[in-house]
Amino acid sequence: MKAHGDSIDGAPSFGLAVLVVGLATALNALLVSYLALANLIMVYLLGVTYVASRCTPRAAILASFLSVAVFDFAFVHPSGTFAVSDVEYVFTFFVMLVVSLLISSLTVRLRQQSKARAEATMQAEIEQMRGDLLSAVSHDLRTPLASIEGSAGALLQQKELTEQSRQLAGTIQEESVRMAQLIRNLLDMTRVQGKIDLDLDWYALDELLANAILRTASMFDHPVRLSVTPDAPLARVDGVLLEQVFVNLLENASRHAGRACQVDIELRGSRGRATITVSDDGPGLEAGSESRVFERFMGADTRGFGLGLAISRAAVEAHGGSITASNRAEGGAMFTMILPAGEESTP
Amino acid sequence: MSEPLRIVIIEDEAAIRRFLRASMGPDEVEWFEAESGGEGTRLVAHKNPHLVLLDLGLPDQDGLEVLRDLREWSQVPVIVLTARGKERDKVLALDAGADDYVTKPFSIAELLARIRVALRHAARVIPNTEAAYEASGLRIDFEARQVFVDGEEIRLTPIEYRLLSELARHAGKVLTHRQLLRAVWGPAYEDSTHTLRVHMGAIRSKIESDAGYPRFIRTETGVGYRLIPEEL
Repeated sequence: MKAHGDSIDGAPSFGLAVLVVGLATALNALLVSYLALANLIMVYLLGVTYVASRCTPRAAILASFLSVAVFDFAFVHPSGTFAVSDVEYVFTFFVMLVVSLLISSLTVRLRQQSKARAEATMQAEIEQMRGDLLSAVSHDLRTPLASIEGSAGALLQQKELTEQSRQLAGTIQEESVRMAQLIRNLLDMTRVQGKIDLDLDWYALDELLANAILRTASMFDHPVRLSVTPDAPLARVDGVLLEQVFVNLLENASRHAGRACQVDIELRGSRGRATITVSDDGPGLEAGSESRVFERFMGADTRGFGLGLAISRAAVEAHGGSITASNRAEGGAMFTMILPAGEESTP
Repeated sequence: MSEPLRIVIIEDEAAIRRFLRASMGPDEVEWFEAESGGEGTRLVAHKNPHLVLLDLGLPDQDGLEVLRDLREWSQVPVIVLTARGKERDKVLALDAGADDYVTKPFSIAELLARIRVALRHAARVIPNTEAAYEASGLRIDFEARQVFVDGEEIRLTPIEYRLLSELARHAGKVLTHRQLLRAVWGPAYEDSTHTLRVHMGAIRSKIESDAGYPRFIRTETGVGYRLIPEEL
């Protein structure tokens, strides 16, 4: 069966339907003196099947109706008119139409299924290749980076270093740390695209939040305020991935609200879920951009690829949770994350 | 210091061996370098080092295998070097007898702190005889079974007390979930992470005043817990 490739859409597709019905009619005109009237229908059905296998579903429907109409007009007594001499023919038309619509819909569905299968296979192969490539590249980049960062660190340990050399070594160290973060983001992005393999275990979300605060401590002038309600439940999550999500949210706050901003994090629990809000007192989100901030490369600038929030959303959704962005009434951006938590969420 | 520390480093990346050597001079540390597991094991046997740094991603042999080999005949402190995202490897290494780990890329300061903790634990011949633990405002009196934060007594349940004192006896060293569960609840409860989290949460709410900035207990996500010693 001809299934691959895109069908010709729109007008040409209808054109082909008309052409095929025309050809079937021409063939029938030659055969009409040799075949019984009922057998001429077969030629039309053949045409409809061909159209359904090549064109859009609409073109196949057009071919079905057209076949019945032309068959009536050209071959059914009295020919040359749509009038029908015998009511029996009405039944014939009805069956012809139903069979022809059925064949066309079955053909179209079969074609779509096999096309979807082929696409899914190809997509999976592309995903696999991209994932393999990126993780290999990231690993190969990280090894020399570890040496650069370590060497700069070792240099900084030297006591006889001049102030200028110390500053230069410091820059090498800081920049290699930043580059390691960028590579980490790339690696996380490849991990959360497609099917995510979560390493689930029980975690206290406030522990993960405290770690994220510690890891981003150098980005803020004021300590991040974390408030946890006593009913905050444990959650069965991928702790390493989720901690990274929290780090991404804090990095995002530092980047957009500035290092002088005040970040507040709240962790609350209620029936089977945990709600985490991360809010800052910066300029907030551009009106209308609240949902777009999670798109890949949206926040790209000189400091990064803008992958952090996209990674965060994919990771949270993989946990069966949700994340949204909004502006606070009193100013500043707020990210709200809802995660399944507590005993109820476990199967 | 009268004699320099002897450290064996088993790592295939020459650049990493080089900066480690440069970060601690010959008057502090005498380095012995091995590129492969087999070579490293031989060096440990011949040089009787104070400490071993072992890369888990060796090309010729799984670093874990090297560690298990070593542990059959040596109690030398081992710090493993691992990559980010290899939490399972870290846990396996710690459960197999590694003393600690650092994640590449790591800073020299971080590695030095880990080395100090590992050496201190190794130096303590009988670790359970100390009468008290005291650091950064936390005091645990092992004889009276009392816990104080900034001089104020904290009431802990027996399980909470055992968990905290287990961490304190290994202060500065990471303990895996499995190690903690085995020590406090017994070998049958090695996989009850949920129970562990509940009790650690209770301890934290009693001894930590700011959830965002814990002073005493550090969570090592995916690996275990560590009591923060004074110098970290």
